[in-house]
Amino acid sequence: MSKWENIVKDKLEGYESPLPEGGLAEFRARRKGTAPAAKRYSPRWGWALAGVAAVAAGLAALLLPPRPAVPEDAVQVIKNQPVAEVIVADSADVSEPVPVLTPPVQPVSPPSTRRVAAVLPKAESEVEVTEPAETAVVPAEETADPQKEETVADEAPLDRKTVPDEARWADSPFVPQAPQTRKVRLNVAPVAGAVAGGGLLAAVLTPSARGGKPNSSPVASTLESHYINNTGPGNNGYVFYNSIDAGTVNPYTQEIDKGDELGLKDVLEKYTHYRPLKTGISARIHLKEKLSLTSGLTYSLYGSKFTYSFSGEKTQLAHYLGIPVRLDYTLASNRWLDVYIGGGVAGDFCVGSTLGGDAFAKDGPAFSVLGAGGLQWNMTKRLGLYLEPELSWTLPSEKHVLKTYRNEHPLVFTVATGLRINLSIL
Amino acid sequence: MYTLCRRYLGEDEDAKDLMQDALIQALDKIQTFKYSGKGSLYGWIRRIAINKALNLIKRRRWRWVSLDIAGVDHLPEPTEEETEGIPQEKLLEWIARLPDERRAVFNLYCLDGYSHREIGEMLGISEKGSAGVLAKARKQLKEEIKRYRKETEP
Repeated sequence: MSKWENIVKDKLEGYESPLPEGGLAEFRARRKGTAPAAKRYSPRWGWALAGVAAVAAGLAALLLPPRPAVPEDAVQVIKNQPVAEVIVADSADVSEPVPVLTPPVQPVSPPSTRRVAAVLPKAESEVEVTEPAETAVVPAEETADPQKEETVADEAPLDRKTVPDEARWADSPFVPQAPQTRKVRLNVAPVAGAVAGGGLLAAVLTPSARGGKPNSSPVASTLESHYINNTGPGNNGYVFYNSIDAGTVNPYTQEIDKGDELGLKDVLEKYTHYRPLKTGISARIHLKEKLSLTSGLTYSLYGSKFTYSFSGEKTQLAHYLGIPVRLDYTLASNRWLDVYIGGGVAGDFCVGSTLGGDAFAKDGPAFSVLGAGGLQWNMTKRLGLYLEPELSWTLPSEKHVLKTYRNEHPLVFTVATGLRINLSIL
Repeated sequence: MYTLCRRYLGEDEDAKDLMQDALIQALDKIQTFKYSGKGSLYGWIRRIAINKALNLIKRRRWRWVSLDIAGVDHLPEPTEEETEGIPQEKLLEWIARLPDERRAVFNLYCLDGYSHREIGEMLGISEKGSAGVLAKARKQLKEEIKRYRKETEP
């Protein structure tokens, strides 16, 4: 210590500052037992529990399987009759006569759809083997206006009779593929909301993050049709109608090749990629006072909506697990919050994808260079909740087979959120 | 005690609250105190007050990245005469003006005799970090002394 510091120490050691008036009032009252010291309420643990609960709820909602909107055995066979199925948008006026559909009809992506009985010319022998709820009668919960339901029922005077299961395919060369008919209305919004449950701020940011634009002009019509020609060889007058999968999807082009037998090709008409959502569990090792190494496991969800000429609208969800490695520099910190910037690399590996609810091709690995800024709320000394706006650039690769937001935009901006464990080797 | 609290927290009101909190805690936990000679009670209460002060500082502390690239201290050391002539209240005022972390490190190291290792443990920073903070505190105080000398010179 320098001389002047010793002098300062000596001067202050014996010095007594004048005590302000009432400076010991509380202490004296306490000593007399008249004023019990009230413990100050600390919201720390309350907020910590709320944060953990939010993340748990988000993950639980994400992992819960979506409820199929259509029974899995929703298969119908119509003999000697061109099949037309009409999906009427909720916003469409169903009181207007629905046209008898002949191919080709321009498909659209209505905001939400419900399946109603098609208007078909009366046929001599028309058998519906099963009675899928959505094709017979509009379910009550899906019909806000009872008048609409009545109108639809009036327009579909189909003479149906149920055939026993054992006789269902007696005359048909086709084998029912019931599992393929499962239609899952997996909306990106609830998933987005669930993931964003990992952080309150992320929940605020999520709606604005879903900003993908359609990559083709929207189709003006409000009707969407499925048409399968029943004049192909060997079908014996029967058409197997599959409400969703009319062919094989080419993962490279997202086109459905129906094959020559039917003579039709399902073409991708438009698509929309949503911005990815990212959450994760991360660990930060403090190498120096302000320098730390951050790594962990992140989960990314890439959602896209594809509209095909015949199959209609399908949602593709691609799930990735990533391992980022980043070096972070703390700009500012206090006991509760850390503000930092960092840069590093990340590898994302596709763990699965679905198209229209069915399992789909896995994407190749994606490696990216990333830079991030972040805000970390330290719930405890070791556990924090982070929110990180992140800019990453994906390295070009031939192994990407899925069309996702990443393919369209190698430079991706995301707001990641999650839990972080803080470790220290200092 | 009040002077000690002022040294650590700067603000008079905060210092008053800290002093009362420390005394009340000492009163509550008096059964845990072990007498070990003259001055041990004061040392015990003083330690309670310092711990409480550091907790407060840690809670409200923001450690910003210093952009003071040319942070080398080239100021001459104040002489004995110059320092002796400074009133205690002025010294307390200058110490109170230091940012929380600098104030805490200066108090702990220069006035209360803790080592950088101990300070690092108490404040959750490294030894080098503590030394760096102390250097900045010293520089700031020397500037205050220099300014005061200029003002008071005839």
